Amino acid sequence: MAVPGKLASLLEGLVAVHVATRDAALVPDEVMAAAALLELDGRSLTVYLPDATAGTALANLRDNGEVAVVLSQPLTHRTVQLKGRVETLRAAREEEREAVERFAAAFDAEVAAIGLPPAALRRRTRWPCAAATFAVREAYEQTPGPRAGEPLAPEGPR
Amino acid sequence: MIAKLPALARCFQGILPGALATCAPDGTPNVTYLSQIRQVDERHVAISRQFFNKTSRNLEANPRATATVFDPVTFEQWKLGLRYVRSETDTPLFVEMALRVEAIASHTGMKGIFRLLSADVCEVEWVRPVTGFLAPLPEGACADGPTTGPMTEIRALSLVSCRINRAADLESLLEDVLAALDEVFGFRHSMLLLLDETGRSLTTIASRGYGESGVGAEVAVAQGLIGTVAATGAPMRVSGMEALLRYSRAVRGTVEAAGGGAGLRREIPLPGLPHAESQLALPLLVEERLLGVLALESGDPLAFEEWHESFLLVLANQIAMGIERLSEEAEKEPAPPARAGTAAPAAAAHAFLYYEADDCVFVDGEYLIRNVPGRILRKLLRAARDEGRREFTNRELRLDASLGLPTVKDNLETRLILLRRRLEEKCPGVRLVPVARGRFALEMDGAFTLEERRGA
Repeated sequence: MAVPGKLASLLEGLVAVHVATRDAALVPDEVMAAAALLELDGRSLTVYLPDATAGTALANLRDNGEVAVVLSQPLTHRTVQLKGRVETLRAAREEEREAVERFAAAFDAEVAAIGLPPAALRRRTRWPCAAATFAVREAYEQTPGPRAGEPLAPEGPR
Repeated sequence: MIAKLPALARCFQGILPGALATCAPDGTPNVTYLSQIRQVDERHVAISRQFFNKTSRNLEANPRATATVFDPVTFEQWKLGLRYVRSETDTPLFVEMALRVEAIASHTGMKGIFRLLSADVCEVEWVRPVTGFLAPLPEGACADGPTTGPMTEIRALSLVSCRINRAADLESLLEDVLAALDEVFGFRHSMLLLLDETGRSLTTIASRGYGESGVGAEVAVAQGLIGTVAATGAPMRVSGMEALLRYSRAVRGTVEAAGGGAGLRREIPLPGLPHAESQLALPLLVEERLLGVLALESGDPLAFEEWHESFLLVLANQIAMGIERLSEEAEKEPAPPARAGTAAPAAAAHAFLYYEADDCVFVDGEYLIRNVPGRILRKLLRAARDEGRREFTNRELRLDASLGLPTVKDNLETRLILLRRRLEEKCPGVRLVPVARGRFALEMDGAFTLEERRGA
């Protein structure tokens, strides 16, 4: 699709990551990711789900792989939603840890600017993680407003 | 572990928005930010439906949803298993949520565009803390701040009531009340606004804790938080205003980017704190008649809790009764013999300019006041210039039909306070000095000119 080529610029600065999955009975679950990093192909995203909190999400992903991810910048509310099916689910590797920690720290800094206590933010569990990678199948504008929900690549496949 | 909903009150204040996951019938999940979630009763919450259409479609087809919310003090995360029950569009719940959305929208000039479509009520099937979201606290550390006991609050209420009852006149009542809110409750930034004679706008009559007093600043009824409280007669509390204003501005940004910005008004500047994080506005009512609004602001997003709203409403009622009592008492005592006017010593001359079209008065090129206080000032200046008068009675102002005072409950006293304070700030060389109940003198350090123009 057309958008993944632009994904890198689209996702710039979006440091809050919420991940939705669902079970076989279509009951949804939501978990906060420690990080979301674009793969080198520019069209696949890997979300890093902390083992401590992502039990239900990981079970759902093993069951069916369906995933929706909102990425947002807390200070401006600029928000994008990406959807797809997770193809690779594995334990995050030690060499990925630094990038994950850096991403999580960017979220902490932004949310601290809103006024949340930094000491509490630093306690957020971010490692160890599972890494779930999916090819972006759908992308939507989700910044609050009348354009929320509009596909970011209307010419692309749905 | 299952928690009860009331334990989550802080999480519902919207300071750090939570998220809501739903699932389409074809198995595609969807996730969105929760702009507003509030508790309806022990087993239900309502979520605001503004723009999230996919969420709405999903909930109608598959009512299961999962929400996560954050405690803004401890940053603990909670997860709620929800089942969508119904959408409300004309119930008190909807009106309450819509007012909150509209109050924020009108602050950012988004009224009508950024509005609540429905309050979606969901049954809460379970609530649990997201264990492991935060690493354990170091031993001996305390996650929460100190709390205050109810006896403290009751004592505080009694202290403030006492000051209201002791106030000798309206002006001291206004000052004492705001001082007491500061000293007793720690609410350092406050203002009192009174409804003007048109019933369409409120004027700031007293304030505390701001660099500029803001006396004379106007707020239109039904606009912004204060105007909304005046229009509905119900208190409103907004926490995490910065978060909500940022949210609303994000909406405004997308509207303008979409080319829909032509009809937008400019933002109404929030009177008071430049970085207000929370605001509580309470109506001042006497037998359902609105006298004005008491507004409190804080830079702390959690300064006003749910109990403050009902608790301070008791106080607001007493303030309203105090204002009413002292406005009437000003008339009861007989006027003492008139004091001879004092000759004005030579000093700097002041140039007053009165615009008839909107009863607006400027002094030395600066805006001073308008409406009834503007007409009163013109009357006083004319009498001083043409007849050499320096003393006036409230009674003669009341009898002067050209001033446009209502025949009952005219609030003349508050108009005079407003005029007096504006003169103190903008033109200290001209003063209104009370000489007895219902009687005051116009004192001037120098000469003045009064020019009257028809056009605006």
